Amino acid sequence: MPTLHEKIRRELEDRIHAGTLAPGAKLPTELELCEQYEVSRATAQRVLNDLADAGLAVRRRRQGTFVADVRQQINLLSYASPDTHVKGVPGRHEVLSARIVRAADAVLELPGAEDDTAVVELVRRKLDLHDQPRTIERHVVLFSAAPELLNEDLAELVSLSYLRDRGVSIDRIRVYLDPVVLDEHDAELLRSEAGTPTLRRRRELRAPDGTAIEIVTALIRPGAAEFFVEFPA
Amino acid sequence: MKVIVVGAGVLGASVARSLSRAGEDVLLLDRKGPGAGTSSTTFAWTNSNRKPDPDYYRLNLEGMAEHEKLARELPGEPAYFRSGGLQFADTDSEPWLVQNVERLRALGYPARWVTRAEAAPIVRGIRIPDDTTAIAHFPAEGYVRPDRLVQNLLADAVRHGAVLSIGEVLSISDGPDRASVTLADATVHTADRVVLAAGRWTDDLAARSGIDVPMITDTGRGSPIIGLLGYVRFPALDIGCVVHTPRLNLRPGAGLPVVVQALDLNPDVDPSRPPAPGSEIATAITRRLTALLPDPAQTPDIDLRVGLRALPADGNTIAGYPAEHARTYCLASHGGITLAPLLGRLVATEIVTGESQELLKPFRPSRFAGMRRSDLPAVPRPVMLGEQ
Ligand SMILES: Cc1cc2nc3c(=O)[nH]c(=O)nc-3n(C[C@H](O)[C@H](O)[C@H](O)COP(=O)(O)OP(=O)(O)OC[C@H]3O[C@@H](n4cnc5c(N)ncnc54)[C@H](O)[C@@H]3O)c2cc1C
Repeated sequence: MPTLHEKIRRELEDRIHAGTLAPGAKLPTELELCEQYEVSRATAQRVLNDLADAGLAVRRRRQGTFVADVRQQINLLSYASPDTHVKGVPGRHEVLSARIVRAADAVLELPGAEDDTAVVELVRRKLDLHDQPRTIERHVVLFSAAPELLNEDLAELVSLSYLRDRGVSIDRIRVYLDPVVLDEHDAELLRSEAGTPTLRRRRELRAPDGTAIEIVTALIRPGAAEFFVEFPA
Repeated sequence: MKVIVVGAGVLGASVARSLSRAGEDVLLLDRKGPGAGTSSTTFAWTNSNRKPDPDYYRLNLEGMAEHEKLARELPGEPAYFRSGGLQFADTDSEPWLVQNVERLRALGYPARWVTRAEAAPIVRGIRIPDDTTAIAHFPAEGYVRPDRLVQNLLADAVRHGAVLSIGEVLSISDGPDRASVTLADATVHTADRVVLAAGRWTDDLAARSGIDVPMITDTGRGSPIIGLLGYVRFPALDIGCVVHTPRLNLRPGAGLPVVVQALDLNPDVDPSRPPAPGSEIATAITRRLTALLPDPAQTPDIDLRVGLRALPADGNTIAGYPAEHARTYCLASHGGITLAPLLGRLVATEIVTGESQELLKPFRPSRFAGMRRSDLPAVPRPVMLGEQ
């Protein structure tokens, strides 16, 4: 049985995650919570403090409590840089599927691969610290370059460093940013609406002889991030 | 026909390949990844050297021949090496070796006595122990690089349309029209046939599916399924073939470390506490290896790993449907490296054509029908020269 303050907190969390309480919206005051739920002042205070501690709300003196702006700030320059790809970003991965298939049947086209070449395909959903979906990542890797990739802990795997550690020689990393519109399937996975425009990061790794070793896309949840570039003035 | 193969070890991968080449629609399921089970921790010697049961002997002999055939047609980096095998006996083990060589010769198995001078260029980088009194050469034997074999089989299966998907199978159920497979994430797949090839986990998964596939599954110290392997990190060690000495067996690595095992030490190995570097067992293995090196001053590093055999209760292969009209085909075997190419072809043929294959007839799961597990004779632990 959740305690009273947990129950109230979850109700508010659900509304924040669903977007009915949008970033910047004012949350009920302590007094309002006391009346609405017939709870003590201490319980009401605890609810709002918990939300603030979880980063979902900001408390402003004398003004009240507001839904935090949880949009990630993404610097496009570092987003495209291999160093960022090696480190990865905080939050856990949920593995949606892990397969070995013909290149022609994979979720992404691995440039230059013959239709019947075996490829490893991995689809994961990246969750932020509040367990909200942040991105959907799709990897397609040449099976012959990483035949044991699926034996790794796929929730933790960072493919670029994995390939480097295994001695796969990578000559070139190219990053594209594709404007795309969410389809039904991806919208559901990202808890968003089909038809919403968003950005997709697409990365290609190539061997010295030009063979594509891996293609990865990260489809960003619309509204979950703001992109910028910044230069010293 | 849609076929689900459970287990992407060397056996599952081989069956999947043969089925997909025959045009069947194949889904291969593994909870971890290709070759994650016993197939990655194996001595991988291809042989029919000490298989007293005539049917099992014949199966392994055909298994060796099938490797020759497969190596010619399977794309990928070489995975099979017909290196031949050498066995060195000392005074104690000589009668045991002599008796086996005579038995094998009578059966027509390639076996011959060689001198030290003849053996030296075959074995290459190790010293033939001074107390060696007899050397037998088995030219038709060889070894496999198991990771490559699994990868090549799998890549070929996928090339012909098979799909491998990561998922843990909880149970299989046979229906009148279809069989269905339930995964841990609650997904259900249906198919015309299911091949249960989950290695040493086959007994358990079969039991959960109402099928009896008796295997030895005890992993406690002293169990015959425990086999310690040493991976020798010492690039200078170059051996030319599979070698059995009274105290240590060696297999070339083909680009990976040389693999060694000392069967008589297995009873002391506790898989829950694998021997650490510096432990008594680790030291014994290092000492035995050092004694075979041309320069005994060198002490190579050895990584130890515990392998667990997939061992049917009577030691022999299990291949077939548990009952007439069943849709779940059970496949479990020790010696799976030797047998994988052959079993892959034969099992796929039985599934596709429904015609019983002569070589597999002695190995049906029904041979255990009505027997209690406690009544089955104990399978001896392999400890002697040339056992596996
Ligand atoms: C020490 C040692 C030495 C050996 N030496 C030799 C030798 O010299 N020559 C020889 O021929 N053979 C040898 N063998 C035997 C040989 O290695 C095995 O017979 C063979 O590897 C078995 O292959 P497999 O495909 O049946 O099992 P595995 O390789 O274990 O494959 C089974 C697969 O099933 C998967 N699985 C299990 N349960 C589930 C589930 N519920 N859902 C989904 N997937 C599941 C596992 O993840 C695994 O990948 C040796 C074995 C050992 C341990």
